[in-house]
Amino acid sequence: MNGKEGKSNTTGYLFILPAFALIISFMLFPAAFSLLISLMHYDLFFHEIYPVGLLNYATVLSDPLFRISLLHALEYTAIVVPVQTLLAFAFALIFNEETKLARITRATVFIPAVTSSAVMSVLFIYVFSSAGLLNAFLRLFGIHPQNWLLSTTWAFPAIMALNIFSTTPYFMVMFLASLQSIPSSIMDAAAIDGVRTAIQRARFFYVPLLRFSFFFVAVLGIIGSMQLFDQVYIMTAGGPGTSTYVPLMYIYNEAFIYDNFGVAAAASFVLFIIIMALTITQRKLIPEIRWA
Amino acid sequence: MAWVIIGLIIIIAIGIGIYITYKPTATTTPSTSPVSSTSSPPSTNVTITFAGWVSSGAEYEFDVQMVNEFNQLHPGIHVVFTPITSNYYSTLATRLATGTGPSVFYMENTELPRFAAAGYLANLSALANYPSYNLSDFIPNMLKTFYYKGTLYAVPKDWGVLGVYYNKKLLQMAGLPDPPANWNWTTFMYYLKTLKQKLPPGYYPMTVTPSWARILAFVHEAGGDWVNQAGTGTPTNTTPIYEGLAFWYNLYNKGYAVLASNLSAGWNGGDFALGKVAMVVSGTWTIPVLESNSSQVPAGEWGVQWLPSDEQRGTMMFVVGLAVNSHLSPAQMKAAIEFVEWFTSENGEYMWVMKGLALPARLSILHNSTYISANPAAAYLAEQFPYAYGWAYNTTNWDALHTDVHNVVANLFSGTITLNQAYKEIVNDTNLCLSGQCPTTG
Repeated sequence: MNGKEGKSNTTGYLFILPAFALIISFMLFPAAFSLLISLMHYDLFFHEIYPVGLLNYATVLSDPLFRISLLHALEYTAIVVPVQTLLAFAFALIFNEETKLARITRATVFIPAVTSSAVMSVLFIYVFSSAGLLNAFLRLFGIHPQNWLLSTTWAFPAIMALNIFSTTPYFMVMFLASLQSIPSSIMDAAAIDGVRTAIQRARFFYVPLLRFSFFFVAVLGIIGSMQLFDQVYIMTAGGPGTSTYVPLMYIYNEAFIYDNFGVAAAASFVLFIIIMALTITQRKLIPEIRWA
Repeated sequence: MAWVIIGLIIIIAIGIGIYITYKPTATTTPSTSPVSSTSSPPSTNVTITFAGWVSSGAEYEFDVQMVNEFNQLHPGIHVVFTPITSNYYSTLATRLATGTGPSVFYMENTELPRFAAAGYLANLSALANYPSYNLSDFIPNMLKTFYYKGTLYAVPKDWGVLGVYYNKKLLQMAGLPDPPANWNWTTFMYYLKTLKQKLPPGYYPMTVTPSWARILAFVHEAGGDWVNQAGTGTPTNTTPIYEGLAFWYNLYNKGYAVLASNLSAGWNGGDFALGKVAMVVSGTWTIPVLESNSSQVPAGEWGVQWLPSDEQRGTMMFVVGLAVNSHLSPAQMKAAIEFVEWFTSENGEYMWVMKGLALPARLSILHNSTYISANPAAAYLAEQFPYAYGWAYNTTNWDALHTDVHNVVANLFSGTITLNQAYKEIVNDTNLCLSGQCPTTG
């Protein structure tokens, strides 16, 4: 390494230093400290702190409630991620125009994505109640009203629907950005070669060219889905029964209701390993291709 | 390079962890020596912090007004109000555990045993010796709930109590008079049955919430209690638990009441203020809502009544007190006690309750004619105090116990378990929790 390269590297490090300091302080250090807590009985309130080895991990892995919560998270991910990804892509195709109407519609559709999830959850409690909007609509077709969030069968699908409604527009913007970055010369050449219908354009050009965007949206979707919390906390608190119990609800309750911070930290790391495994698997299945 | 940095971070984290594990810790035994505002050095230019939750913008303003008033009257002390806006007890616990807790703070009787057992609360028993303070003026069964193992750790600031709110116009539509003071469960059911038959569509006899905090009042009315006197489990006779639970659940199950979440406000008092509900069981915090401009029930068209009785009279009181951080300097401790003494004195508490948010914990104010004429509905409901039960169960894992039992009630209302199963689970979970083995499944 010559002197010029060294100076250049130092400048580079100085540029990333502020961001890096924040990442260390608020992400990496807390994560490392949580790893340590997961190996301890950690009751700061009563000052009872001592190492317990892997006992917290054994507790988490043998707890049927944690297994139920994991299954729910996987079920949620399996349904929500494909639906929201496909819907986002479809919306992006529909709104990929530069007309005034398309711009207004895009902004309108994007509103749920920029609304606080807490506010959305409170609104949707009423939407899903017996006298709510959904039942009023279904009553038009003679369907008997019910309180969706009090049903062990329907509470979780209701939360799924809310999340699809609120996150689809966010991912739509990502697809839109990718669609608009495809050079028009490619699509012009395709048109000359006889690709005329929207389905043909989507099948032969958009889907292959947007493979990286699909991967990115799916990874973000999986991470977000496995970390589902605020909607469940506000709308059902994990109930009725355990029908909407998810891992973050388990972690929250262990930490703040039962004062088992060690168990909560261990559950966090088990969840981290599962999300990491899912992401790596997905990375293997969909090779990264960037449009340069 | 990245791995080196991550390795360093892990080593630093482990180092801090080991330090936290083995460093000398603060005492975890409750402070037993009483502290007073006269036994410490005089307070001059002392700053202390005061924390509480903020239920509304009005409560925040009232807290600030009280603090400003105190600061004006006590030039040597500067109190700063620092509200905790969410997760009150978790935040307070973390701050106290890390030595950054407020000097004076709101404390409920449910949480008091845990904070007292961990040694974070100052012993306020010396207040009994202040002649002008008059500790015996507080409602006795309320003050009792702020003692832990014979020591006073907080003094009542205010309280709320459950009562029945009724819509006079809707009762008249059903041909019913205002409910009498001596009504019982049978009369109450008669009212609901009549309302169900006679109210037009779109109106509801009652709303309920799947809430243990409401059911418990009826457990007491059925002649029982949830936890035994020793705080070690349920009482021997748990039949009243079943009766209270069954009474509340059947209001919903038999169609006399709908869930509060079915209406737009989502809670009993708020739904009642929409003008579509004939009766609700709610706390005195409903009164400011009914008196606000947003209420659909005009003044004079709603009334309040005591809870209907069964084996005995009973209701629940929700009491908020002021506690003092036990880890203060002598000067701060003196200032903190002075602030608590002033806030909960007859004058201070009168100023506070006249703002209309909550009931006075002092009998002299409760029976003050100016207070009664300014707050007739609240004063009437407050007269239930001899029959009111506080949430005091001498348990240090209140959150876990209450969450578990509340979840059982929620499961009952959602139909995942039967009434009998819910009753058995409540008894079982209570006994397990109070023996330190709370089931986490709810």
